Amino acid sequence: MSAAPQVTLESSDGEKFKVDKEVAERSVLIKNMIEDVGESDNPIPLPNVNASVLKKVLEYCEHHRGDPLPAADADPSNDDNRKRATEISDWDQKFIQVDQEMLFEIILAANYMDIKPLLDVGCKTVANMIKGKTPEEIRKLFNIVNDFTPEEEAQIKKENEWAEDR
Amino acid sequence: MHDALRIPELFVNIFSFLNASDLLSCALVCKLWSEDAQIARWKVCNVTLKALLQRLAPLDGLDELGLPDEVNGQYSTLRINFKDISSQDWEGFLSTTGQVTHLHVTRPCLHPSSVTLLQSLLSTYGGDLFPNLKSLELDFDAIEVPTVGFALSPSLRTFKATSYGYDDLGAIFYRLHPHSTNIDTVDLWMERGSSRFQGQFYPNLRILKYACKSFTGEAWAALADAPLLEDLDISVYMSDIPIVHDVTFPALKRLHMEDMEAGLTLALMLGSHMPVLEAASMEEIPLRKHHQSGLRQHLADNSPVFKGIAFVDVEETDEGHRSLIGTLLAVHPLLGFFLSMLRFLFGL
Repeated sequence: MSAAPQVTLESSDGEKFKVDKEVAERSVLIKNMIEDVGESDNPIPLPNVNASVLKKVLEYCEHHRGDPLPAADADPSNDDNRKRATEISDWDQKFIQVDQEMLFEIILAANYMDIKPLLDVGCKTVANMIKGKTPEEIRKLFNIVNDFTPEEEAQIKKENEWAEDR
Repeated sequence: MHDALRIPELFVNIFSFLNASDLLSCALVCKLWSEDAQIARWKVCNVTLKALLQRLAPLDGLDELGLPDEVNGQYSTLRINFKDISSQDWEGFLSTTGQVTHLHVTRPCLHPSSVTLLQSLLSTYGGDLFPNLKSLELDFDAIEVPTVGFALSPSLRTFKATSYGYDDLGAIFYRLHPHSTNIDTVDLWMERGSSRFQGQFYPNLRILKYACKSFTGEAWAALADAPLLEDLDISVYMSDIPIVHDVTFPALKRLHMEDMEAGLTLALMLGSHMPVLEAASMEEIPLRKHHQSGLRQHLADNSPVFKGIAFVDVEETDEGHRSLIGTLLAVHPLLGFFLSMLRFLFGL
């Protein structure tokens, strides 16, 4: 009985995943649930995450199981540095090379499960897709409908023309 | 559009990894994104002083900042979006506005949302918008209470304004009071109306230039309440001759009155004491000879240091009439008789 403690997670489509507690607790949501409910053999339900997505998320958590947990109240200036840096580690880069649907599902899952580093990897990836594109190219990329009139577009450009990049 | 891109929490996180030009693109993608993309953009933008000030107030005399004198602003369409400006950003901004010593507002310039924004920034972080402002000048039409409110600081020494009306300047004086303790020079010109200019609120006022079209005896007494006032240059109109009694200008050394009615001038002067007055001049005031000498005597009696009073450009209205009448008399005897009657009746 020297094996690491394990927990069972259940996806929205009923698939069960038995993982090390340490891995599952990369998710702040699960960590809090375990703390609240106490150790239990009952599976933890994740009604917002389907099996294929949960599998990917757990793959990420497994790889990063030893990473230091981000402090709850990080120094805002560090936070700022984090925000500005859009580089992604090689492993994460490879991990996040998925189709757009899966990318957004991972982002939603990371947001729901409260896995901040994974959320940021996903958001950075979307940001990198946006970089250098025109509004029309962005709309096309993400299938977004343009709901601006030409006058409204001109207005936004005008209001924003006078600030310079830092 | 995937649901993930409809959740503000998520697209705001995505925006946090983008630069200003990409964020402008995002702001133009769709309405759902636009506001937050613009806010995110402000966080990564330098709010350039020049750009902001040009929208707050077209400025003159800012050469030390390399700002042009150009008037450039589409204020009616301005909306400033940096709600989330940090206290450091604000302090940095104030350290730059702190270099502004002379503010010359040439036209109304503050968009209501800018007013709201600045008010919230000032109330959140404190401080004065122009902490080292020495001189504030408001051109005709530029009287705008918020602008003045923001420009005021205890460092202010000189205030100059021209205006059509009454209420706007009144409101400005109301705002000036707490900031007026160091003001030493005021120059006011009002096309209509008067002002609630209260000398008592200007403990260091030395030079006052004052013109208005609706003056009162109380307003005259209120000017005299400025305890250190040395130079007064005044041009006022009043529909009724006021009763002025025992008004004292304790520190007044030099007085200039211009383009005023004779009766009003005499009422103001004869009802006032100017114990340290050195010199006075009356320009374009149709005072008759005996009034001039009476006024000279009154001033000399009141002030041991009085040196003299000059009457400038009064020929046109007084002596001028007499010589004209003389000429007409010579030309036509009947006209001469008629004019003699006029002189008799009206004392011309």
